[in-house]
Amino acid sequence: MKLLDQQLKRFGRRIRFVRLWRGAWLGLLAGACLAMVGVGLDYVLVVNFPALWGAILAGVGLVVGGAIGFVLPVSELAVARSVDRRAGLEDRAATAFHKQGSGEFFEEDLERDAEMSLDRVEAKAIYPFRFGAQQMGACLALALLVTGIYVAENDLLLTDAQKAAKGEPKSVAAQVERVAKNLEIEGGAPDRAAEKKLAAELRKFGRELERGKLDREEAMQKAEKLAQDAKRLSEQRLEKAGEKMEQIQARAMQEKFEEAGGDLGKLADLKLDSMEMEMMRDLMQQSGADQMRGDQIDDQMMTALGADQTTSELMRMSEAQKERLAEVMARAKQEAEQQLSEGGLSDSERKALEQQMEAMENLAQKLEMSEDVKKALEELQNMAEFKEMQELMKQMQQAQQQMQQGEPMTEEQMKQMQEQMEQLAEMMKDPAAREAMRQAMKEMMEQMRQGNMNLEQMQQMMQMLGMGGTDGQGGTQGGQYMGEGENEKRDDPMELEGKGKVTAVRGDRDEKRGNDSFSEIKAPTMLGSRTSVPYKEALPGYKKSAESAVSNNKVKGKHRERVKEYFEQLSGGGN
Amino acid sequence: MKGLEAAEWFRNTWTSLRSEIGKVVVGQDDVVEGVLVALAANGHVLLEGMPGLGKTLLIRTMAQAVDLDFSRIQFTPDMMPADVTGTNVFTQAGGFEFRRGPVFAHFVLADEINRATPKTQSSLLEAMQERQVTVGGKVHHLDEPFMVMATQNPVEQEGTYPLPEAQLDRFFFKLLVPYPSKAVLAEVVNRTTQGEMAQVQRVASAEDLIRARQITREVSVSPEVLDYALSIIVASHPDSESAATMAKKYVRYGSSPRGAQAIITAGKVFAMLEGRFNVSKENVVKAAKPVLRHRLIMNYESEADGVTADQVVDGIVEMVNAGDKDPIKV
Repeated sequence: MKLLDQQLKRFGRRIRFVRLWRGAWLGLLAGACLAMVGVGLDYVLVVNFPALWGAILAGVGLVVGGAIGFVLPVSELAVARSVDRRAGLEDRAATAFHKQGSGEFFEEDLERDAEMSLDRVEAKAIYPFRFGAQQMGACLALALLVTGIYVAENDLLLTDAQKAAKGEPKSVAAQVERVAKNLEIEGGAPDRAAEKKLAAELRKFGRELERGKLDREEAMQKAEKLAQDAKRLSEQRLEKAGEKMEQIQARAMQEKFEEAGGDLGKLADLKLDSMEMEMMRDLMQQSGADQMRGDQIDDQMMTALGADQTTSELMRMSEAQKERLAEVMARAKQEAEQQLSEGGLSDSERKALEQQMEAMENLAQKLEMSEDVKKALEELQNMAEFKEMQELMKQMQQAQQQMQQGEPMTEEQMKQMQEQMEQLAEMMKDPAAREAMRQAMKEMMEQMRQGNMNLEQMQQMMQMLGMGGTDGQGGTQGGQYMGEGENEKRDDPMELEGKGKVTAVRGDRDEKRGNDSFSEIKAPTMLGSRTSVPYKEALPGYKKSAESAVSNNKVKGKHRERVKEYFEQLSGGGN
Repeated sequence: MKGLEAAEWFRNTWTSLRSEIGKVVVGQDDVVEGVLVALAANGHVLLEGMPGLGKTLLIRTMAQAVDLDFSRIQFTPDMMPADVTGTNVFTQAGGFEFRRGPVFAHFVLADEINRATPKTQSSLLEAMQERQVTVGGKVHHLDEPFMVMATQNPVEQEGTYPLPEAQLDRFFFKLLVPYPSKAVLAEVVNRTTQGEMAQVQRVASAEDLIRARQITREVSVSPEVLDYALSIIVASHPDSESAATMAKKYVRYGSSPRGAQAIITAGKVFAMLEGRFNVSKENVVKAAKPVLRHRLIMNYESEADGVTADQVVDGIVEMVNAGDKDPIKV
């Protein structure tokens, strides 16, 4: 590289640094001016422009301006021309730069002359770091910015009354900020963009309140508008949440199901509340056309047919659910087998794994069995004998009514009823179901023979046998005893076997005056079974659950009002 | 000869020449410098000034310093072209012989050229531009170096014939000969009234002048400087887009291309005299007035406002300078 080029580069470097200096000041000036505009707009509430932004803007202007100044290209020719002008070199450098390699008569002399001239020039002398008008302007702008921010933040230009008026909304600001924050954090909204926008507006509103930028009337108007927006979004959100809740609930049920080790029979042990149970049932019922109606399949009837609780639940599942369950089981089984084959398990782990596999095997069998039981039920319902059994139940109802009226059944009637029931049971092809049915009928007949069954108990038994019946409306109203007077307990409470929590149920008195009698049956609450618990006692619990479900968005938005009205009506009816 | 040596020789020669002329001509430094620049640039000079300011003395002294032929032509209204160029004369031998006129000299002083008729004035055109004279169909070349220095009186306009534009354009410089200051005048008086006149020594030859002209042409001009000079020329044209305000207002016709050539050539000589190998913008500016003042054809408004060509040139230069910014803004 020639000396001339080196010298020009020396000046070029200096120029870059001086440009950095100048650019930084110009950037600061520009940033400060923009920040002042922002502060001004903020003061008149056109935009929200915090003081920190002003400082950041000025700083960014300084950095960016300096960077731009430094990286701007500097050509050697421009440097040569500039140095010529500033150092008074009378175009020596530029001419020499141009005539390099031209072969002109004075080329070498010209270059040497230029080099000597440049050598005598100090870069800092002709390109000094000046503190001139631009720098003064930047400092002035910065000072104005700081002053503006200080004045705006401290309300220096306001009267005491104005300050007081502006200070009032500040107390609300923190609340608004919390709401906005929650709104920003919460996800899964149907219109997330709108919620974010609302959150941003709320934040802005909160900041304006905090900084006392709004008077009361203005704040109220703005709050009203935001509240409307929030309400609209909230409604959308609730509706959407209700829809999603079903899916979530379904997933939760599935998880609980899996937690139960694949044994649907343990679902009752999962401590599902009534609403969850109901929802699970709803979900199952929604699952497809191939699913049988809930009133056609009853747990007790299936029990009578030899199907346990797990099989009953499996039958309630849709084909898709069954497939999913089968996939889950297959996968779990495969993993378990793999773990067993790989070894390295402790005895307890191995044992647990084997138990798990055994449970899955059991569940798979029940899954197959559920199909068989379903077919058997269908066949049963189509049988003539089933209809006869229905007829028999009517007779039993009449008998029960006679019993209630103090006229016990005759021996002949009981014998006839037993024979019919046995005949019916014999006709059932499934030995297990037949045996169960027979056993149940025997028990029922025995109770009837002994006069230990009233209508309520009989209805329960009929329900257990899946034979429909009086739907609990026979001699009572809604399963309640009516009237006033002394109640006589007929005998000790009758305890029925089964899973679940054993509860004692008592009836209420009839409205009619006079003595009355009652029997007490202690039995576990079972899934799908009807209860004789007085609704007045059960209502508060259900209502609480319903309110909880409504408030937690477990209930679809469109059903929410209906649920509320329902419980309100119930409450009103009770009064 | 290397460049540096050539430049040194040029400067020494011209310094010597300047010194010799200075022995006789007191003051008038700018005029002397202008004449010497025109001499180095192979140009002609039009001197405008009052009578008795040493114009004739200057040119005679210069001729003596380089030991070249000098002739003086006093232009009058009755002068004919043949009186300038020469004519064919019938000789006793029975033939025609061309008798050279006063133009056949190295230095020609055309005194009060505006007093001759345009026809006679035009007789100098061919000599000044082509360095030849055509008489009777025969071309007669003039010896090099050839230089015409014409003078004219700015005040005695009655009975004069202003030089046509074509004639004016042939002059490299138009130099204004100012009235000397009191000190200079005293020196003039003392030198001319006491003792003997100083003797001028020959310090250069015709060959030296020709060589100096060659060296001058080698001086470098950067594109920026050339652009600067051309901007001045273009700005002198009132119809140009980049015309200066003064030119638009007071100039009828701007400079011819000879003006551009002259301003660069003069700049080269100035650069050599200043010891540089390149023309600077300052050189261009320095050459602008003597080059342009007779090439700008002023309008009536300038006469009415009393605006001179020099003022217009100043305006043009100012305008061009304003557009010539530092390419590095820091």
